[in-house]
Amino acid sequence: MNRLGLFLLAVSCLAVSAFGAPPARAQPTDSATLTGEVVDAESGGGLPLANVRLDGTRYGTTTSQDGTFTLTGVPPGQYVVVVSYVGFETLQRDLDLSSGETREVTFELTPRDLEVEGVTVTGDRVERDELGTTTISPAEVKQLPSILQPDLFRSLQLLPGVKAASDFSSGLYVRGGSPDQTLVLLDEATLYNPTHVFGFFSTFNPDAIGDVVLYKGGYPATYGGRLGAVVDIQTKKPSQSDVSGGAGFGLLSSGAYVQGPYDLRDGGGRDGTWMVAARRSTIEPLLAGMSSAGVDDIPTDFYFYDVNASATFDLDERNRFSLSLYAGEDQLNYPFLDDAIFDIGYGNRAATATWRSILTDGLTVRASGSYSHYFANPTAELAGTEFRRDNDLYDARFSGSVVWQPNSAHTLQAGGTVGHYLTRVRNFFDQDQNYSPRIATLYSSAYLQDTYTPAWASDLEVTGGLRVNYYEQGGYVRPAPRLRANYQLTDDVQLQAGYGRYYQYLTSVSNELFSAFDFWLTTDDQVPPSYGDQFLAGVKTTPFEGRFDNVSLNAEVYYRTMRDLFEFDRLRTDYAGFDYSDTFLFGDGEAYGLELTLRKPDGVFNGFVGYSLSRTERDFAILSDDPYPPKYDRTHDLTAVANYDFAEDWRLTTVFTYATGQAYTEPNGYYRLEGTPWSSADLTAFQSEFNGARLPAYHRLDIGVRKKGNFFGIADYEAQIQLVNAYSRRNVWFVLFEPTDEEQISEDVVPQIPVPIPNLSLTLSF
Amino acid sequence: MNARPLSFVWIFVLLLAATACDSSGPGSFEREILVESYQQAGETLNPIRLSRTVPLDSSYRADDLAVRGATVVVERLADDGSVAERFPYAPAPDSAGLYLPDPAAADTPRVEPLRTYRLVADIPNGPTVRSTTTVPDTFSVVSINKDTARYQDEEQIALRVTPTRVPGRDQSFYIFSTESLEPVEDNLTPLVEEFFEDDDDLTLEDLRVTSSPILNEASYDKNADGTITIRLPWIAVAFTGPNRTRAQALDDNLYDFQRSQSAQGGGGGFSPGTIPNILENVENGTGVFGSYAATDTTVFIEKSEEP
Repeated sequence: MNRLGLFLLAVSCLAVSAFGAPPARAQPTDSATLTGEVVDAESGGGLPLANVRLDGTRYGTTTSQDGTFTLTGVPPGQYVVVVSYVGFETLQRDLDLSSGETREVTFELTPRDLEVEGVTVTGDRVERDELGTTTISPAEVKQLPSILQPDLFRSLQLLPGVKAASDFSSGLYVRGGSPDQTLVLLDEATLYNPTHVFGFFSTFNPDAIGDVVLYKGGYPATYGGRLGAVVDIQTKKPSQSDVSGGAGFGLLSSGAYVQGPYDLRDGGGRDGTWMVAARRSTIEPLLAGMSSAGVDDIPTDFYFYDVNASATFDLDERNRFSLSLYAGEDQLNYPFLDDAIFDIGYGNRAATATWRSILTDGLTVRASGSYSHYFANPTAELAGTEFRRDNDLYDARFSGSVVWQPNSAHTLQAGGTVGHYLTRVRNFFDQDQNYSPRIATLYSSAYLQDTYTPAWASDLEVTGGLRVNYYEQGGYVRPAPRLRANYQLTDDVQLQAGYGRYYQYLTSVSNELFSAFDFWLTTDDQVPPSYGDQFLAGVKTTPFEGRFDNVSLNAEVYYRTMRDLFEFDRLRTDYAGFDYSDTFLFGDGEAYGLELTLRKPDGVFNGFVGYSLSRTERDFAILSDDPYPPKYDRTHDLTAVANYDFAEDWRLTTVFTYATGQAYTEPNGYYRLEGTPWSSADLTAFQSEFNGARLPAYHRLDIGVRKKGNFFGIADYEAQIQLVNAYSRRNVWFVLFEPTDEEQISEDVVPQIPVPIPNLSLTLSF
Repeated sequence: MNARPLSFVWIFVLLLAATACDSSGPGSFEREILVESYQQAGETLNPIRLSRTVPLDSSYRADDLAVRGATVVVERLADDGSVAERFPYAPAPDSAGLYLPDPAAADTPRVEPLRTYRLVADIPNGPTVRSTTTVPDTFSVVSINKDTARYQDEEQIALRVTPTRVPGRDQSFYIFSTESLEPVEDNLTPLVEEFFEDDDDLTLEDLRVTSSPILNEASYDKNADGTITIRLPWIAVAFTGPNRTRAQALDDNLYDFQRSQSAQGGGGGFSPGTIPNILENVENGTGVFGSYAATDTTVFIEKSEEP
């Protein structure tokens, strides 16, 4: 039996045993309900996917994306509630639930301040981690050594199963998928090309965001529209206690934020909270100085900024309205030769308004509207000839969802989305518009999902769902089933498996070098949507109980297919006059792998080691007769992140990365053409196996030291000094092969970051 | 409990050992027969060069690589695919690997537009190389808005040309080239001069003929009389002074070769360093046996005024 068969068998067995079970008992009328939120005690932000369980019972759940939860059908009695979340101290609280009561509770978890003494996690079971899912906090993002400024996506790239194309790219290549296969959400609004500095950084300000959930694969029916993964980012929910703020100063950019509660009504209650965070590049004076000092090739104008704002308004104890806004933009004016200039601007705007109501009897309703606008207007003028692209993308949608827990065995979720998508690209060459696809389409989706914990097997949880997508452009209706199962084999071993069918109606036309040229295209009646199946399974353990209680080892395997991939045909230079479908290449792909994560979350010495053994292939006949690995295929990928709190308020952080060299094309032969009618120079053509060779292995060590303290009694500070690429590894970015006038071929090896890059930053908070 | 961590370590080591090595180098080199020929519609048959490919680490010495003693024939095919005419080629006396239309024939035949031609080359102790091209229709310059222009003047040089076509295709693909008739350093345009100064390998002869990327017919304005107006992009001009500007309509073979060769050199939207394979239409060999139609006119480009 092949690996696909084994997956299917395992998943089928789990499904049959779950759904073939007797129906759960009806909820007793005298049962109690526990509902509320799990929040970060420092920021007040909701914590997604936190575990809430009643100790010693089968009653438990995980929080939703905004940190809310509901447990229904709980028999009256005294309980110890255990609330846990990675990176936070586990909380225990005694509760006495009486008959028919609905108790609302807010659990505030304290971040593990990993100082000298260390912290011991309470609890006797391995913390629940969703299959294929990882959460990361802004604090983790800020603490990792980084190039010039902390960056969310570069932190995610350290996780097993997530790869980077190069040191210069923040794009997420998740489990063999290209970046456009990952859905990036900011407060439910989809962001397209969320980068700064043309792809070098992601656009998310760590001071402005809350916890981030990454679904590397097998994501649930509540999401859709991408073949691979989901990054769900929530704007930071502001503190409910006092007005606070901070400012950060870095080599590339500086920023500030302020947040707090407000009270519009008399009576001392809190009506809501607000937060504003802004960041702007501060490198212009340096560029101006270099330019006036006669340094060549310095941009005459370069800046970026981003602004996040959010507010919540508590209508009453059960109803909350929230609003979040985002704006970010990059601008570059770069005369790179005497008669050649780049003028590039691009950015994003996004807004989301959400209303959430916690009704009685375990019923939560959510409604939201979101808007996203991506724009890019890159222009190059070479010798009086203009190359210009006007690119706009609008995505507006309304979503609604209901979460209902009719009894302790079932949690039902249902929801739907209706949206409108518009992309408009206009390409100009020498004033002639030569390519101008404009696609406006409606789309919608609906899903139903049930999380079932059978009474006869309280250690088993099965989540099954169905999502149905409709895409007007082409009239596609596609059902996408999803299934996950989690079985608590012993107190410290969880077994997990999952399956999902996924569809994607978009493809990005992306250039690794300059993300400002990115644009998006969609399916139509001649271009069917891509689809794929994902099979995954995992084991999560704490294998060193007794010696290192909190050390966890997670192992996951996955296999995924990618069918009907459509990618923009880059072998053409002019797209005017072609049928829409003729501008694409069509192909397939697959990926499979094993990921191991060994994590020690606390103590004086803490961190994690992630390893992935994986393979991904593409099959596009025009590029290669045989399936080939894309450049981001890495057989081995090892990351070790270690923190050492060597004195009070001091922390040393190291990040070491090792990966198999990326696939590339090394020609094995060549020839020259001497008489082409349109050139007086010889033309050289290479013979090669596409991506048939490997660059040297990639490895890099980054080191950082952080000091915390108080700044003259005015504010708390956090100072960091970091060194990226500490031992000057010249990892290869790509190789250029060029003919020489000695009738030979030269190899020009272009390195990634070739030298140690220092980084200094200071953050003040008040 | 103690045995488990050790087991994990062993499993890990075994997995590493099982998958430790990815091939790091390219596949082995296989020498191929190289064809190079460009037949122009309405003109006499052009020569055919037969050569060989070389390993990446070897020098390219045309004389060493030339294919000698081949039997070369170009066949014109009838509509039903049968051979309508045969044009034998003979080795050029003073250039190894170059084959010329048979000098014994009374007249060198002309390449007929919209016809299909097949190359058949029997290589001594080697394969029979075949390739087929369908020739674009001829076209011509109807008028030109001005024959003298200042470099980068707002009003570009514009040609009105008759339409051309290639059977089986909806539109034509053009390359516009400019050939300097006075290729001296003093005439270099500012951008090209900067390239020239920065690159020691670049010669004036390399720049004498420069060209645009492939441009589609649909990019241009179609006039009421069916002609097409084409503006000469200034980026295609490397020298001021007298220039022959030329529009060339490509057959499928030249179109495929040029777009993929251009992508190998960094053109197109591929990530840096990506080298796609050449799109070839040569059986048992490599290179290109293609055809095109062309028209040209002479213009004078004045230097732009100093700012």
